[in-house]
Parts: sequence; C-alpha cells; structure tokens
Amino acid sequence: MSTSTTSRDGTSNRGETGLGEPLELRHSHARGFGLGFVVKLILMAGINAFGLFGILAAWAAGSWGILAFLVIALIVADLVYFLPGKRILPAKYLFPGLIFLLVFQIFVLLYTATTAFTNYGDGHNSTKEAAISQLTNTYEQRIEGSEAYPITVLSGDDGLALATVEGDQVLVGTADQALAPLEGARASDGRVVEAPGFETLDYAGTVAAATELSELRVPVSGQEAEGVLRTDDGRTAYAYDSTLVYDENADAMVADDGTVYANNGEGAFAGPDGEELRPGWQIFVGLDNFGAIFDPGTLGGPFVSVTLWTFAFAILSVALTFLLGLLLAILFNDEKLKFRNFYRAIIFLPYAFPGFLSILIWAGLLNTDYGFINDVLLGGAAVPWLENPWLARLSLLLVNLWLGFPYMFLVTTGALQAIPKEIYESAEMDGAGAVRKFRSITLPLLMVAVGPLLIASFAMNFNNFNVIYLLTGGGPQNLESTTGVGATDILISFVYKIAFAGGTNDYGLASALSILIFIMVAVISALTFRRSKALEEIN
Amino acid sequence: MKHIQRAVIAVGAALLLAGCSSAQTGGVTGLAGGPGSISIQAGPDEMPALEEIAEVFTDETGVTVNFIQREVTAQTTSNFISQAPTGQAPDIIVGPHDNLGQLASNGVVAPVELGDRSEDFTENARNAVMYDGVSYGVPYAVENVALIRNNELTTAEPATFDELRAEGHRLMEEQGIQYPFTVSQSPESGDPYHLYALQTSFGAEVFERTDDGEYTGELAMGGENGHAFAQYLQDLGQSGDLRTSMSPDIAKESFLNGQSAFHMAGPWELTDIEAAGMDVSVLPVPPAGEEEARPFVGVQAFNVNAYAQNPVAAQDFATNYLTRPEAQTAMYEATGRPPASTVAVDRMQGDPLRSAYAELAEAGLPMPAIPEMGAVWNFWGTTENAIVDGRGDPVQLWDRMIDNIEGQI
Repeated sequence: MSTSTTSRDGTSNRGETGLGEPLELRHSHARGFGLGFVVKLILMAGINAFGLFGILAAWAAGSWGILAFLVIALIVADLVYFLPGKRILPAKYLFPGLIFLLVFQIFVLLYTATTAFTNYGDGHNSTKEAAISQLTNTYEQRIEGSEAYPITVLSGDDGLALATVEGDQVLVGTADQALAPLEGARASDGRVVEAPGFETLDYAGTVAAATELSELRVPVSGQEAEGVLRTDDGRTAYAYDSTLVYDENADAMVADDGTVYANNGEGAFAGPDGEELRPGWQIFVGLDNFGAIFDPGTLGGPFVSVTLWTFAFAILSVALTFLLGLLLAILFNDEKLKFRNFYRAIIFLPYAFPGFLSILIWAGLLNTDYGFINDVLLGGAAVPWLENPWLARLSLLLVNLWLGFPYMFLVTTGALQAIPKEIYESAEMDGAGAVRKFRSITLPLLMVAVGPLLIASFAMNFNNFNVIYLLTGGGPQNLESTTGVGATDILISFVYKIAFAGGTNDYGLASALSILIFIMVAVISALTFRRSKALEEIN
Repeated sequence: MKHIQRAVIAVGAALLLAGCSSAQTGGVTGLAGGPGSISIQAGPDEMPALEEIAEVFTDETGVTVNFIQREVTAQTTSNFISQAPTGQAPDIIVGPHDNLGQLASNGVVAPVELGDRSEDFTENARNAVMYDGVSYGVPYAVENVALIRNNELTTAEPATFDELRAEGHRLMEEQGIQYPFTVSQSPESGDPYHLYALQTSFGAEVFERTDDGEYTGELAMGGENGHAFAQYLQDLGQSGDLRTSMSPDIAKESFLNGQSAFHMAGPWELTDIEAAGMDVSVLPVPPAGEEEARPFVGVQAFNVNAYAQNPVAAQDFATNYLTRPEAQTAMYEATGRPPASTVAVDRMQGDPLRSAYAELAEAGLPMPAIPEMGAVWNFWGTTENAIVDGRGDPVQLWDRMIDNIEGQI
C-alpha cells in the first residue's frame, strides 16, 4: 500500500515527497472561468431554479415549514459552493448527503414519531374545523318534496347572492335577505343576465368563488321551515334544513331535536349515550398507542407472539442462508473441480430473478390442490403448505432460503478467496485436519469479512415485508384473535395490517409499532456491530 | 476581492436563470384566473368513456379534466382517506359503493344532490349511493354474481344447488370434465362475496335491514340459519365440490377450458368468456336452502372529494354531466358493465348476457356500505375457509366468528 510505504520512509518529509507540492499547484476545475466553472454555474443555476420554484410553490400552498427549510437549504447551498476558501471544502462533499439525510431519514423518523402520539387513523384523519364543517354539511337534509331552483350566482357589495327565475319574475336573495323579486332584473333562457346592484358571475367567476359559495345559505322565505338554499354545482340550488349546528361556547354539536354531542376529549363529538359522530379529528393521545400495544387485552398477546416469530424468522433466515451459502462456497472453492464457474453461475440464478416474481411463483407451486409440488411431485397429496400454521412457517423459511442463499454464496466465496493460502499450508504442517482448519482459520477470518453483512441481512429480514406479503399474506389467520393477525405475520406486516389492510386504519398505532421495530433493530445492530468490531481487533 | 466578485456574479446569474425557469412553471392552477381544472381517478376500462364526457365538459365550461389512471382497490380507498384532507387527492374517484360508509364516516366525500335526475337510475343503484339518508354519488354500473352456464356441455337449468352439483357430477363422469362447478375463492382470505347467494338461500343475511332496506349494524347471520349454511359449507368442502385453493385465475381458466359447466361469477368475466367464443347463458344462482338465493349487488359510483380543489366544477361535472344518458351509455359501452341508468339499460337489449345480469340484479341485495362491514369481511372469509377445509366443527367455527365480529364492532 502506497501510504504505508511513504510513512515507513523515516527520512522523507511532506514537502519533499511529491505529495504536498502538486496539491498546491493543482487548480480546482471549478475555480477561475474555465470549463469547470461554467459547468458548476449551470448546475447551481439549475439547483437555484428548482429551489426557487419550490419556495414559490410552498408560498402558494401556505406550507411555511417547507418554505423555511427550502430558503435555508438554498442559501446554504449557494454559500457552500460559491464561498472561496479551503476550510469550506469538506462541506461541498457533505452538503448533498446531509440534505438527503434530513429529507429522507430524519424527517420521516420525526414524522413517524409524532404520529405515534396521535390518534391519526380512520375517523380521525383531519382537523377539528374540517370535521365540524363536514358534519354540518352532511347533516343538512334536503327538505322533502321541495323543488329544485335553477340559479345564477351574483356578486354584490355584501358578498355573493343567488338569483332564480320564477315565472316572469327574477328573485334574488343573499345570506341576510330571503329570496325576493328584484326590480329591473332581466332573464333570458332561464338564466339571469342582468340584476341592478349585482354583477352576474360567469362560469369561471362562479368556480373561483367556490369557498364563499360553499358557505352561502340563502333563506327561501321569511319562514324558517322552508329552509335555506345551498348550491353545490353553481347551477341548481335546493332547500335544506340543517339538523346539526356547532355551538362554539359549549364546544358541542347540537341536533335539532335537542341532543347535545359534546367534545369527548378523544377527538370526536359524542352524544349522551356515548355514540360518536363521525368524522372526528386528530388529537395528541400521549402514550395511549404504546399502552395498547402492551395491553394484553388489546394487542399485547399478538404483539408478543409476532415479535417472537419475527426474531425466529430473521435469525433462522440468516442462519440457514449463510450455512447453505457457506457450504456451497466451500464445495465450489475446490480448484480441482471442473466447470466450477459454470456451477457458480447456476447457483447464482435464484438471485438473478426478480424476487417478486419468484415469490409469486412459489405461492403458486405451494397451492394445496393445484400446486406443482402437491400435484406432481407428491403425486396428488394435499399437504396444506400455506394453510397450516407450522407448515406455512416452514414454507416461508424454505422460500426465503431459496431467495437468499445465492447472496451468501457470493459473499462467502469472495471472502474465502481472500484468505491467504499460506496460512492453510502452515496449519497443515502443524498437523491440523480439515475440521480444525475450518474452525480455527476459515470461520474466524470469514466472520471478519461477512459479519457486518450478516447483521445487515438480519436487519433486512427483520423487515422483510415482500416475502411475507406475497407468499402467505401473514396467514393462516388466527381464528381466535380479533386483530386479524396470522401465524406468519412479522412485525412489519402486522404494522401494515393495522395501518392499511384491515377494515379500520390506525396510523397512530402503526407508527407506534414502527418506532418499536426501529428501536429493536437499532439496538441489535449496535450490539452485534460492537461484537464484530471486537472480533476484528483480535485478528 | 476577486473571489467575492466572482461569487456575486455567479449568484446573480443563477438567480436570473432561476427567475426565467420559474416564471414558466410558476402558473400553478387557480392563480391564473380561468375556471382551472379538475382531476378524476378511474380504472383503465373507464378511461375512454370518461375522456369523451370530459371533452363535452371542457367545451362547455373551459374546465380542463386531468385523469389519474389507477384501479380502485382497498389500498386506493385508504390512500384517498389519508390524502384528501391534505388536498392531494383527486376531485372525483370511481369506486364500488361498499366503500361509501368508510369514506363518508371519514368525511372525505361530499354529498351529491342529484335532484330529479335520480329518477333515471335503477332502485338498487339509487339506494347504493345513499348513506345515512344522504346521497353521495353518481352510480354508473350494477354488478352481481350469477350462474354462467356452458351451453356446449349442458342445457340443464338446475332448480336447486344440489341439482346443480348432481348435474356437475354426471358431466364429470360422462364427459370427463374436472369440476362440478367453479367459483373463485382465496386460500388466504376466503371469498364470502361469491358464496353470498348460497348463504342468503338459508336466510342468513349478513346484517339486519330496516323496512326501507337500509342496513343496521346488527348482525343477522348468526343463529340457526347461519348454522345451516355453515353445515352446507362443510358438506361442500368434504365432498370436494368446493375448494378454498381455487383462486380466481384457476376458476376462470377451468371454465374457459371447458373443465366446468357452471361458473358462479360476476359480469366482469363476460369479456374473457366472449373473447374465447364460448356459447353461454346467464342464469340465477340456484338456492341451496329453502329461500331465494340473493347475491350481493355492487354498484360502481363516482364520488366527489369533500376537500376538492375545485369543488364547484367537480360537483358540476358529477351532477350535470356524468348523469346524462349519453354519458351513462358511453360508460356502459366502454366498460361492458351492466349499467345503472335505466336509459342505458334500455339501450342494452342487443346484449342478452348483460341484460340477464341487469335483470338478476333486481333480486339481489346491495352490499352493505356501513363501516361495520370492514370488521366482517376478514373473519367471514377466514371462517368460511376453515369450515370448507374441515378445520373444526362448522357450528362452533361459525359461532366464534359471530362473537369475534360482534367484539370488533
């Protein structure tokens, strides 16, 4: 290695080795007005354009957090890449990585962590204001037998107004003024074309006034029983009677029969009998989600069994694939073997096929009545490969073995070839047999190289959603459990069921589980990395 | 000094370039003044007709229509519920009406008042888009399970399901076909939807219904009727006539290959059957129990996002354009699904298979749209599978399912 040879040379110093001087002489291509600078300018112009576009879009959407982040990121980017000076050099390399880290890791992590403390999920998917407006809207009932009013939307000094033609009269009404004939108004073809004191809105104008229009209620007459007019499409209005109103002082929804639905503090309005109005809204619920996970009455039981199976699945998957891969690697590492590159290529094939495809094909092969394995290989036996809990687990491990061993074969082959032959020769001279050589030389040296890969493989299998989802879907389902959990569900597929697949989605609970998964994987990885580092130091 | 000058020039130039580029793309919809645009999410088969309807809409109003082509699944419903409040969801989505309860109770769909135009739709279709007394959508297709018979194999019209099985077994012996009948099932989650007609023939409807036909959250499939159906399922499983491993692909392929004379399926399979040039008839599912076999009726409908970015235009498109007879006919012609509009039903006379489906739909029961249904599907399917596979006593399994569902509701 070049660095070690120069440092071993005790007489040399930095100025004379020829390493320092060129550094001083060398120009960065991105400085001066050379080609490099132009390229950099173009790239930075692109980044600035993109950033400014993002800032404007965030401004238009009112997303102030994103706006602030973009402004800071853009300023920092320009400073980092345009400020002169050597001290800023490392930042030029680190900046893009840091931005991606922030956006794709830190933000996601923080977002998940925040969601874990909310009741975000089905029935609680938006804000309180949205829930109130939606409730008021849905509980507005069209007055039975009332007519449809073809309307024209007008704009006046006091806001929007609705105009309709009745006989040869034009009736106009606003939020405060019930429908009444307007002198001097003119209609043609059922549409009001002129109304003194108002401006008739064309289609674009009506569409643009959507927010105001959705809030507009025009009394049909002086009598409340005749209801208020509301239009959704800007063409036709119907008379509605509102049956549920929000009482701001009491923070409750009041129905027209006097029932009070009070804010129950759990993100919903609930009636005296505890019946909740839906939708509710999102609130912070503290540690409730974590409580539910550990509470034996709700998720506690499934959580323990799923966690145990997750560990068993991840550990066994790594162990089996590694052992098979290692065995094959040792076998095919024998130089006396002819065509061994050909065999190696064949062994590598399962890894070359896309996993999604192989898993789905395996699911078909293992079908109880029609699958190739039962139908042809076992002569029509009805082995319930994917229906029996234990067989399903076994099938899963076997399929995962098929998918994973080529990778282990590949990395162990590489690692085996890197072990110097001389060590084996000297061991042989000391009288070591094949087993002894494997135990004392091959395995320890191998572990240094593949140890970190095994940890990575463990972490990957711990969250190996694809193989579970595509092969068994987590099933067979436990018929006794109310959570829908199945025998082969690992934590991540369990999270998926809670968050997306079941009848009711509970993102808060799923986020809380995700956090627990993160902690488990992080702790295990940290512990094993420390151990493998110790291994490295011994060598 | 020189460095700083250069930096200033560079930043200036960059800003200038950025200004140019953002000026072109900065005209985000809505800022410009015109009537803007709306977005619609629909499946690939619905696209051609929707594009036709949208063209008329754009001509008359100036609103442009953007399409998002995506099959509507349970996943897209979930996505819609979480995305709508953030303003990221499409303005109009197409989907089966049994999602309606979930959508409405999350407050993500807006009421759609059809006014007199609701008279143009069949009763099933009209009821299907109602939830809690409020109308939420524009229906366009009505679908249900019926019995498709391969006329080349048999012309029998079995009056009961046992007669059907007997005829199937006779054909298996005489003609060497493989199955007495085919019906799509799922080894993982079961398929109560396709078996529902058999279940109702024992009088075991899933929920109680009010006199108006609206579902309540009260389970009705327990008790003796449910037990009778569970025992019948066990018999179907034990005799090997019904297998949970018969996935939709296997069921359809077997029928197309002439390995089964009777196929219990929805109208969406007609396209492939017609493409294979088969001579088939559409018959009602014969009852297995004492009562009439009434399949589930699913209605495909358009729903308007309650958080739509352009709500007036979206409502206008739904209530005044999608309801037009020519629009409904176009949807029928493009998708081949039996229509929900009476006008389109009348125009369907040259299509005996789909007309038969439309006729049978009248005897069917709408799929419950109440959110309680979400808790039912899962347990229902897995329990039916357990009974068919013979994993326990049918009555006990059925009772445990009822307990579990009631526990979750």
